Amino acid sequence: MTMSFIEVKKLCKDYKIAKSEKGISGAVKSLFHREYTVKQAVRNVSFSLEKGEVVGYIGPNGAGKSTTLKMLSGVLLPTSGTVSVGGIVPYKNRRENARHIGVVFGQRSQLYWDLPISDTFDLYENLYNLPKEQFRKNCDYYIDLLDMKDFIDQPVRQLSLGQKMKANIAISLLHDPDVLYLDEPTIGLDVTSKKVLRDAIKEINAEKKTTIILTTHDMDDIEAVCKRLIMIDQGQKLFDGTLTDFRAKYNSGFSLKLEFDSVPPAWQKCSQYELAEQSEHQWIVRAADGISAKDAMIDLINRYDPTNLYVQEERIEDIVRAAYEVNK
Amino acid sequence: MKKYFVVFQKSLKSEITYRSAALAGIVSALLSFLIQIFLWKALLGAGVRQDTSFSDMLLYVILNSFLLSLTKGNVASVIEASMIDGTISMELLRPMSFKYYTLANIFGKNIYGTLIRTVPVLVIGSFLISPASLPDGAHILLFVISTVLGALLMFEVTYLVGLLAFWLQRCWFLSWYLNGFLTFFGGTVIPLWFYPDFLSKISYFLPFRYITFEPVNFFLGKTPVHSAWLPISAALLWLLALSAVDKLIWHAAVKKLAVNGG
Repeated sequence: MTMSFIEVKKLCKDYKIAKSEKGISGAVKSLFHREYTVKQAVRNVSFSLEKGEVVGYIGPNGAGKSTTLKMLSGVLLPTSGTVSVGGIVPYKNRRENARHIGVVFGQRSQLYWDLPISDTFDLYENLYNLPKEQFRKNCDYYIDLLDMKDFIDQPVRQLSLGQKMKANIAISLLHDPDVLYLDEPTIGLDVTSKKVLRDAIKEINAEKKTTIILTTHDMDDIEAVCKRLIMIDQGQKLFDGTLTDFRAKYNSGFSLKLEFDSVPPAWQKCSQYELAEQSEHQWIVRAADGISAKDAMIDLINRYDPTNLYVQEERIEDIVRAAYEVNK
Repeated sequence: MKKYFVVFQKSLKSEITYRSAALAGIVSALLSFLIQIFLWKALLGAGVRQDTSFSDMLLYVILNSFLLSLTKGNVASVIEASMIDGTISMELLRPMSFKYYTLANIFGKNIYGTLIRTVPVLVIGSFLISPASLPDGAHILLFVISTVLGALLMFEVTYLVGLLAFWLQRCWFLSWYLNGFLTFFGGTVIPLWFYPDFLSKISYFLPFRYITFEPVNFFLGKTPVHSAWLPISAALLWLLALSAVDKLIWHAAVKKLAVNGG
C-alpha cells in the first residue's frame, strides 16, 4: 500500500482542564488539590491528502480545527493516533518538519512590528539559510502576486490587517514549503482583500504545487479555492469529500426568491415548500428534495402570482449551518 | 550563527525607531547619576571608609549601571506574553534555538539604550574621575573577560527564571524577586566590601556577585591579577551549571506545551 503525502490516522487529543472553584476559599483549595475535567478536542479523526491538494477544513468555533493543525505542524503531541507529513512524524521531529511546512495563523503576526516587511523577509532568508537566488526569486514572485510593492518599505504598525496578512503569507512561503497550513487567513478582511488572497492561494497551489490545508468560517473561501472539504464538529469528522458530494449529501434542495409588487398573499402551508424568510415584498421559499425547479416555479407562480421569481442554488454556508444543527 | 546576528540586528533596529524613549533614557540616567554623586560625596565625606575614594565610587556606579542596562531583560514577561497570545507555538516552528534567539533579541534591544545612556554619564563623570582610579592593561583584559562572562551569566539567570512562566499563569513578580537578589547579593547598589562579613561570604556561593561586582572589581584594580582565577572560574562554573539546568527545564516546558497546548 502506498502512503499518501499526509496521513492522519485515528488522531485524538484530550486536554486536561483544571476546574476552578468559586471564591477565595476555592482558590486556596485549588492550591492543594485540583480537579480536572478532560476535554476531547479531537476524536478519532483520520484523513489523507495527496501532494498538491487544497483542502478546506471547516467546523464551528472550538470544533478542533486549530488543534489538528497544531498536531500536523508538530507543536502539539497527539493523545493517541498517528500523523505523518511527507514521511516525517511532526511531533517527533519538530525542527525537521518545520523546514518543510509554512504556517499562518490568521490572528498571529510573525512580523517585526516597528520595521518594514523587508526586514522580516531578511530574517527569514537567514533563518532558513536560503540561497540568494531562491530568496530573490521568491521575494519578487510573492511581492508581485500579493501586490505588496506599495507597502514593502512601510513599518508594519502602519499597515492594514489585509496588508499584514499578505506579508505573513509571503514569509511563510519564502522557503518553498511542501505544505502550507492556513488558519483563518481571511478573518477580518474586506471583500477585495479576500478576493486577492483567494486568487493568490489558488495561484500558489497551481504554480508551486504546494499542498494546502485551509481552515475558515467563510464558505466563500472554500468555494473559491478548495475542491475538497473536511468538516469536523466537536472533535469528530462529519464529512470528507468533494464540494459536489457535500452539496449532494447535505443539500435539502434549492430555494426560490419570490418578489411581490404589493402585499403578498397568505402563505399556504404544505409539505413540499417551506417559507424560510419573509420580508414585506419578498419571500425565500425552500423546495423539498425531489421537486424539479421547473415544477416548483410553475407551481409557485400559479399559487401566489409573484412579480419576479428567481431560483437560487443553496449557498454552502446554509448547508453547513444545517449540517451543524443536525449534529447537535 | 548568522541568523542570530540578524536577530540581534533587527532587534537593535526596532529599538532605534523609538527616539523619545531614548531621550527619556538619557534624562533619567543623568538624574540618577547626579543622585549617586551627591550620595557618595556625602557618605565618603563623612568618613565612612578611607580605602574607597570618591573617584573609585563614581566609576563603580557608572560601570554598574552600564553592565546592568546591557544585560537587563525580563524574559519571563516576554514568554508570558507569547503564551497568552499563542505566538509561542509559532516561535517553536522557527528553525532556531529559542534560547539563543532570546539572547540575541535582548542584547540587540539593550545595546542601543546602554550606549545612549552611558555616553553622557561618562562625559560628566570624566571631569570627576582621577587617573589613579583607572586600570592597567592586564586589569582591562580581565575586566573585558569577566564582563562578557557576567553578561552571559545575567542572561542565564533571567532566562532560567523566565522559563518558570511556562508553569505560572502570571509571573510579573518573578523579575522583582530576581532584582531583589541581584541588588542584595550582587552588590549593584552598595559595594559588597561594605557588607557585614557573613553576608559577603554568602555572596561568594551565589551567582549574583559575578555578574557586575567582579568585573567592576577588576576595573578598579581591587582584585590582584594572581587571584583573578577565582571569580573567573566561579562565573564559568555557574554558567555551565545554569545552562545544564535550563536545558532540562526547557525540555520540560516544551513537553508541557505539547501536552497541554499553548
